[in-house]
Amino acid sequence: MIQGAHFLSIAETPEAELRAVLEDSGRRKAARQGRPKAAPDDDRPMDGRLLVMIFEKPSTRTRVSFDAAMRQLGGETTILNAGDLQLGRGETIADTARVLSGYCDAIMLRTYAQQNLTELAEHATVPVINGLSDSGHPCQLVTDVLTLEEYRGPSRGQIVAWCGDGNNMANSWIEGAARFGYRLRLACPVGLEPDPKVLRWARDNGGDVILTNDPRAAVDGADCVVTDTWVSMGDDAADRHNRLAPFQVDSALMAAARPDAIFMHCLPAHRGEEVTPEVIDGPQSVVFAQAENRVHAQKGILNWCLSTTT
Amino acid sequence: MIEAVMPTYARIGISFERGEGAALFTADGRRFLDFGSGIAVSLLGHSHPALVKALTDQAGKLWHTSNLYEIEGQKRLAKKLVDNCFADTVFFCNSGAEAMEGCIKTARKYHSANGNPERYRVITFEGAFHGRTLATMAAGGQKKILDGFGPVVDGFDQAPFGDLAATEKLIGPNTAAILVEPVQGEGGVRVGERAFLTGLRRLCDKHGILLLMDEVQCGMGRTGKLFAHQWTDIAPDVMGLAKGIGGGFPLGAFLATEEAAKGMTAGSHGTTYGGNLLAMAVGNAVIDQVLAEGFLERVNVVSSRLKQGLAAIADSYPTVIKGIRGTGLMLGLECAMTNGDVATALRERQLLTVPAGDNVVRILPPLVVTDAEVDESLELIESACRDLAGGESAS
Repeated sequence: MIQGAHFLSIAETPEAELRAVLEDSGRRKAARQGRPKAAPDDDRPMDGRLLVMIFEKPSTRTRVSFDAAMRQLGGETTILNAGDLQLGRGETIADTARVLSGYCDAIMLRTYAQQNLTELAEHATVPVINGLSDSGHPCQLVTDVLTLEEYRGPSRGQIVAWCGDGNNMANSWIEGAARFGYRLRLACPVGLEPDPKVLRWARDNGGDVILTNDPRAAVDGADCVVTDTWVSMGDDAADRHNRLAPFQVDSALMAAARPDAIFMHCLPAHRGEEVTPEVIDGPQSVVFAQAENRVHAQKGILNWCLSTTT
Repeated sequence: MIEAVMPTYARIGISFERGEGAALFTADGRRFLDFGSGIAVSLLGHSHPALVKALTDQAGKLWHTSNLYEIEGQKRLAKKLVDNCFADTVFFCNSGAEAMEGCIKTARKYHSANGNPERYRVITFEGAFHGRTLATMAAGGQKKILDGFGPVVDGFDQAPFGDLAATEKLIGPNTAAILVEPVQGEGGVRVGERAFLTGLRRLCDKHGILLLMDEVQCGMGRTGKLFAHQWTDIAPDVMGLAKGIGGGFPLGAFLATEEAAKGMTAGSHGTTYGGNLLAMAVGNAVIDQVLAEGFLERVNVVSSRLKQGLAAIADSYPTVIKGIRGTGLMLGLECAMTNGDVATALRERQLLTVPAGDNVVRILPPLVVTDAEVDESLELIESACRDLAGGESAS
């Protein structure tokens, strides 16, 4: 039996729990202003605990932010590349889960297939965290809501406009609409819309989510404009640029949002593709504060996952 | 042989005997969900007890005195309106067209009072609908409405809706005002973008002209704010209202700032029936309901429920509905097939809607629509879409 809680998707995590994660993240961020980055928090809640991180895909922010987060919480990390691990090839995921559960207190997996996470979680006796999968990026979403609320106040009722591919990040934004109460306006090209099942789930759970093919309509009056790289890791780049070009976030598009709207991007960004330099490097952009918040959000997530362990 | 009632309407062969809330009933007892609200008029549904009482109480006392005398109800309603918007003063009339005529006259008179009578032209937008009088037809600029009625009233220039640059190009020494619907109804439930509306305000300020808004359809809580422009940070100088303001009783109004109304002095404008005692009794009862605590919050919640449901249906039946437009309880189904066919399929399921331009079906339930009625309408719409799509769902 698992000790603690898995963090596999926004949809699978209750609203009150997500709110607790955000509050813990914000509180810890405020409490450690000015400290060296590797200095632990006073309470060191992860003292003596080990997080194993498995990467099937390369990563900058997820890897370093989880590492920093674990250290600040007083714990330690071990990083594995999936190639070293033979995950899902030489050794079954179930066996990997059982073995790793004996070595560490939590597992973070960055994978191509959500199914790998589900299977890992099914057999692990320690919490499993989704560090990105083909169907969602819940850790990033917690970061993004943390950032949104820092800059614009409570998320409930705010308008968030997503422009671009209806990808895994979009899925987490959609799920988040049901959990955090922001009003999500997705503008996606024909053929690159998000999974209808995710949309249906969000709407069935009270999420205010509208899908359009018109970026101006989505951005109109928005409090926050979000986009993502056009070619994510593992995607086929063919013809995506042409289809996504009208969804580029430029100054004219930002002008349709509220004058005090913020721009977010989970990075890496390709200036001149999904966003122009004027926007991402401009006064409305909060992307680097957002990137820093990965650390604070991971701490909230780790604490929540492990809070019931004994 | 011509019918006794002039045949200017292609009427649908149904008549209704009574109404209750969002429902209409035929003489043979069939119940229809009225998601057209008599074209956005029956704001509080049918037979609302507070409205019925206000009207019948007044009907038993006094109907009409003309505007030669004081009408207390006008003062009360005007105060409630100006206390809740940009305006300082209100003129009551009988209809939307009359309200919009009043807006245009106010703008012309403003410049005349400033010594610039040559400033009389008004910029309007493609897809607009401002009424059926000679001037408001010209303001709307739609060929199908203007055809055959002789010379078009002079004084209107038209820009594409949403195009600020084209709008500014039309501003000249004779321009008096820009007239816009924050949400075009007849034009296809097209929501004016915030950047567009704020840009129009900026253009008006820059060129010393007035911003007129036509909130005949989108005003009075229809979008979840008392007035649609209140979703932005800007306000017009003059605004026309009708439809919902009377909740089904014929009533219109135009509102203005003190500055914009400087030319509207005694004798400059008038009406025999406008703002009569019956209309004021109902108008006061309507606005009291709309301004009641929690009413507009409830509109926003129920409209979100409806819009989300419609969006889910659009996702499932893209060959029938391409997308959802609009805001609050002023929504539009962008049809992938002829909008008339969609509206007919809905009516066959006893759900009433209103076709609009741009191949859109308008969904305009009364603001008192319940969650259960919203859910019922969604089932009917989904059923119609399923049949129209030949039973195929995309999800």
